[in-house]
Amino acid sequence: MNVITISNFDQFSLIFDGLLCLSGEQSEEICQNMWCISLGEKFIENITLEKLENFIDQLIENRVQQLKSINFFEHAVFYMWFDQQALQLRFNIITGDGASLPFGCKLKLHSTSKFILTNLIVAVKRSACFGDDVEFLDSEDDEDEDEEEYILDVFVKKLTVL
Amino acid sequence: MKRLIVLNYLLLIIFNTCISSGKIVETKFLSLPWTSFSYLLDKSHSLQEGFCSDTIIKTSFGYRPISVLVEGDIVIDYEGSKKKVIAVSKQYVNRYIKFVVGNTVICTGYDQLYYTFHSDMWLAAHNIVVGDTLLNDINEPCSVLSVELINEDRLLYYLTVQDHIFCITSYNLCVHNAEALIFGVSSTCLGHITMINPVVATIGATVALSAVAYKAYQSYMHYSSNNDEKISLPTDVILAERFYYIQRSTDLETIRQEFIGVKNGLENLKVFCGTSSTNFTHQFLAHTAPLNICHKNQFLQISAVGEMQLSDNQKENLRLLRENELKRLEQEIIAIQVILAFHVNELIEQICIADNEYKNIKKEIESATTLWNDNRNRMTDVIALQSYKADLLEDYLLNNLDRKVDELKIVARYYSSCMNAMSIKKSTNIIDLLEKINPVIIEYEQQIVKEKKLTTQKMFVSEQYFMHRGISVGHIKNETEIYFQKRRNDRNAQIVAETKNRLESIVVSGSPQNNNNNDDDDCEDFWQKLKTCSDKSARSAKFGRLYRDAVTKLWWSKDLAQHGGSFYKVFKETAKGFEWVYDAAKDGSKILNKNKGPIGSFIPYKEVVFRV
Repeated sequence: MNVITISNFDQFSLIFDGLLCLSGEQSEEICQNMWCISLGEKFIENITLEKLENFIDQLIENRVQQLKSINFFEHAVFYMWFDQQALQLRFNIITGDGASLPFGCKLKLHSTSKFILTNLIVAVKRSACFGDDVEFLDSEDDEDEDEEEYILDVFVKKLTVL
Repeated sequence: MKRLIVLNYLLLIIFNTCISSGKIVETKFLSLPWTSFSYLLDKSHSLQEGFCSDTIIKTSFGYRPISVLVEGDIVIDYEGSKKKVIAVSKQYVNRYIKFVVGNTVICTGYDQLYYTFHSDMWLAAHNIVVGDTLLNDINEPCSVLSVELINEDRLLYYLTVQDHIFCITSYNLCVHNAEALIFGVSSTCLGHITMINPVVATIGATVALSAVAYKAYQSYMHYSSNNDEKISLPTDVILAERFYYIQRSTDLETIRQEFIGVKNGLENLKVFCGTSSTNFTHQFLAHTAPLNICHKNQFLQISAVGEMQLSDNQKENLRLLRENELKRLEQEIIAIQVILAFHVNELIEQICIADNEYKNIKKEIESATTLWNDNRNRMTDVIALQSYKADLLEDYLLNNLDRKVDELKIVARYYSSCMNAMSIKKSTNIIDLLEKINPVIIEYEQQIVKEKKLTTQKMFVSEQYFMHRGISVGHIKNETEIYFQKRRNDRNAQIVAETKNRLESIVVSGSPQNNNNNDDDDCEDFWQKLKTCSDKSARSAKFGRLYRDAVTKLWWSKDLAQHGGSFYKVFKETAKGFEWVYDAAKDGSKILNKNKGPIGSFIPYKEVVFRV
């Protein structure tokens, strides 16, 4: 997987230039095609939903062109989610129709990127403002709490080469 | 000190004045040179390798204390290559080497091998001296600043790893793994006796019942597809779990009966029953009962016809009951094995202790004899009594030794005549060691006999002196015997109590376990291990628990999305919050990133509740 922190719009070109691997071997595809994007602190102030949506549209178009260039006419799927824990926008491309995405949690699929990107912007802007505000407890409690079922929002787009 | 008090006390109650006899008395012969039991035993002793529990080992997911490593974990060797841990074993040792390298104290087995930088060879820990340089993974010499031999009991952990070499401490010192284990599975060494899982050693690991059913089904499908026969599943496929369970429980019951038979046989040896108050075997075995035996659930007695009519839910329950029953049988077998192993180990250990006690006191006894000989021309009652007391003490210590050696000899004879002890032979070194120890016992016994003869002569000389002086010493002898008898009984009770505690600690810290890891449990296993190794924990309302690795100081949380084999998120602490560092797989290994620039993503502290 590719990890990057974006500090200005020009750096998005690094992602466009990324090579695609569509071998059918999922672990290989994730290793090569997946991107984890963090947004730099100063960049967050300038970011807007429109600009990010625009980037994603361009990215998808770019990937379709890449598929065309290698004459890849099978099914491939682009999917994108906001990783709240890592505070990253993540996306990946794998072969197949996307009927089963490689996640270990429940998914809520979206046909547009708007919801995901809004969540990202809200979260990063909020996190950038928070300082050190931690509550320490003396008591030791090693019991794991019951974990609530986690539902992840994922934007899915099938890539078709005409 | 107690001994001196007794001597003085007895001196006081008999004599208040110093009386000179004015008669030349007979010379007493000095004791023979003493060859200790430990020395004789050492000839056939196993190597003492390994490290104390908190020694950190370089693994694929950072530094980990050796005590938390298990079979299948990955350690890093001196070339940075990943090597699988084949076995993790434990051994009680009575001595170990403590040395300091840089700012790290290393407690290591007496025979543990280290690679030395200048001599370019493997050197056992006991041969390492101050100023020696040990090699680490980047060919740097690491100087040894101090070396100390510690004569104390300690539990050491040792690993057997693929290609034999791994790295310890933050200096990544190259060490050689323990000798390849005979059985190739994890063992527990109590000092003299080593044991492995008796079930695995005898009939192999228990297979999950669901796997049995699946395999039977797959085999049948494979067979029927080859023959183009599409018929309904035959009974032996439907009842595959039943057949496996019946066979497995029968096999386990046979092993259990063998172990119980051996234990009962030992406990009921007539020679021990008659002197139950003084021998360790009877006291120990009578006070260490294995696990409570539960009665079988009636549902387990279901007929084949009845089983075929069960609903899916009922079948699931039956599977669970059967698996619990197999587990219970296995645990009972292991519990009895541990008791038997402890018993023999303790018998040998007690001889070593009694032998040391005798060896340590021998100088004082000899000086009392010398004092007698030096004062033959002007013997006083005080000197005579002092010498007589020393003779009585020597007599007691030798009798004590003799009794213990005799007990071990009887136990050795019992095991060698045990016709049905195949599982014990396969899963412990009890029988082999007792066979090996036999000539040692014979040699040692001869030495005791000679020494006892000398002591008897010395006591006779003293008694003759007192007889001529018209002083009765019979009651001194009786009182001394009563005192030592009580001391022996107290000591036995103390040993039984100590051994029971040790036995419980072994069971808690893990008897030789069945190591057929279930992949599905890997994630939870790693998480549990992480919890154990953590020094801090925190809770995030959104993301659940976080634990801080005590060694790397990185924070771990479960990956909620679990995309593409990622099971954990790893963070570092920053002023703002937890900054994401990498994703980690099920076994905790890092999922490699191709960093295209600086990274910096975090969970703000506001969202986290800390627990220290």
